[in-house]
Amino acid sequence: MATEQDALYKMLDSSLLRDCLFPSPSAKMKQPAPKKHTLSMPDWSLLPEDLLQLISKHLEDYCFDVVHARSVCSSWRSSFPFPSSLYAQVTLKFPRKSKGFCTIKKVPLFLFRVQAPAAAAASPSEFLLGGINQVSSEDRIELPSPLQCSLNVKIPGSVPTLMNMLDCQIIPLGYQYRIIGWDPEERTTVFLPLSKDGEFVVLLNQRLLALTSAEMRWNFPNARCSELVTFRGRFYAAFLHWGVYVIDPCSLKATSLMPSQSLHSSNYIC
Amino acid sequence: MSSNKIVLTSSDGESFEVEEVVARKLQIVGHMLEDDCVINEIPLQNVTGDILSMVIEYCKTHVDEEESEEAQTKLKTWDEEFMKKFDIKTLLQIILAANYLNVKGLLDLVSQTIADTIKDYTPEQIREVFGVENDYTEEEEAEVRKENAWAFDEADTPKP
Repeated sequence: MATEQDALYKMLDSSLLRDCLFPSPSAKMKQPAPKKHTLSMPDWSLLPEDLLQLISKHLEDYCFDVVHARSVCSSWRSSFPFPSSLYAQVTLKFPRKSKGFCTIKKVPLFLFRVQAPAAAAASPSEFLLGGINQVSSEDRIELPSPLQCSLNVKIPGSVPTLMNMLDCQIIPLGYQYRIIGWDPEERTTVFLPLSKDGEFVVLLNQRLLALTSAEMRWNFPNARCSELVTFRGRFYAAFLHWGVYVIDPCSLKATSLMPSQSLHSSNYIC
Repeated sequence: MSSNKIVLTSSDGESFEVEEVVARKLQIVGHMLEDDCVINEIPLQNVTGDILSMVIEYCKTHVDEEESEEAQTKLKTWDEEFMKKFDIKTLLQIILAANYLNVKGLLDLVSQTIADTIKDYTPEQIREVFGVENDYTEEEEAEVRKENAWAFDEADTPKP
């Protein structure tokens, strides 16, 4: 597991301070940072708010580090806004096929890997793809260190484990859309905004369904679609027997992307 | 113009003679020079000599910022090495000084360095390193705890 170890050392190496505070094997290779300028003890909690905000701007891409910084004290909490990339938003409400309404939920999606050596040994360097959500109050477990970000990892086939967020490598991948209130709910849902005024198009897989915000009703193009993805503002759909088509979100016109050929797996794109 | 010398004096009485073009990197000095162009000695009340010397070192290096990619890369490497010299307490002094003296480039550099330090720390570790007190009330802390509990659900993606 050389790469795992390397990654861990690299992470530790990135901070000389960590070497001083938490001696690690890498600390042996590197001397602690020399304290060249000893000054009267500064008080970080008195750092002006505009400077804290300046610092917080550099953390925008590291959503869980922002959550940690928000837990430090009340002035940090007000200076570091809750990362918008972590909001799971229930976006829109629309008619169902039969009656009633369903909604689309926008869920942040992450690639996740256990980074701690002990845990990594148990599950070798494997990336898992999934959503990270705030724990609802019913599921809450007493945390060992309450203010630390923790992750309750639920992987099918293994016992749920509580992990320290810092022992994980978490790579944000953008969003996944899920349809709520549709039966069954396991349909791949893809969503594209059409304009800044909130116009959009939604497609569902299996028997392909399309809905535009302009019409607000489902269209059935009478095609069986196995996979759906969005990429750079277009839909890509894999049809059984027909191959892959690119679908323009404005006109909903489908153009063949490649000559028809049998795909080896229905998970060709996912 | 550029051969003019300006003397900058720190709050603890240390004096630094620098080229005017270097002193102008400190925008606070730049504004003073515009208001009254005969000044050649400027007292800086809110910064000590050891910190001011660091700020001057930064300004001297960044005095003629060339556009070329090579020069930019060289400066970037210098910035990284420069930041490595300081512990977190000194970084605080420098960010406050850069803010007071209004040196934009240095302000960006130090805030980036501090942000990098914050990454990968738990809130408790951040408090320890930064010397910040936990000032939450019990209710507020419950709120924080709620925000910090996350669950990972593997997506229903079929394995190839």
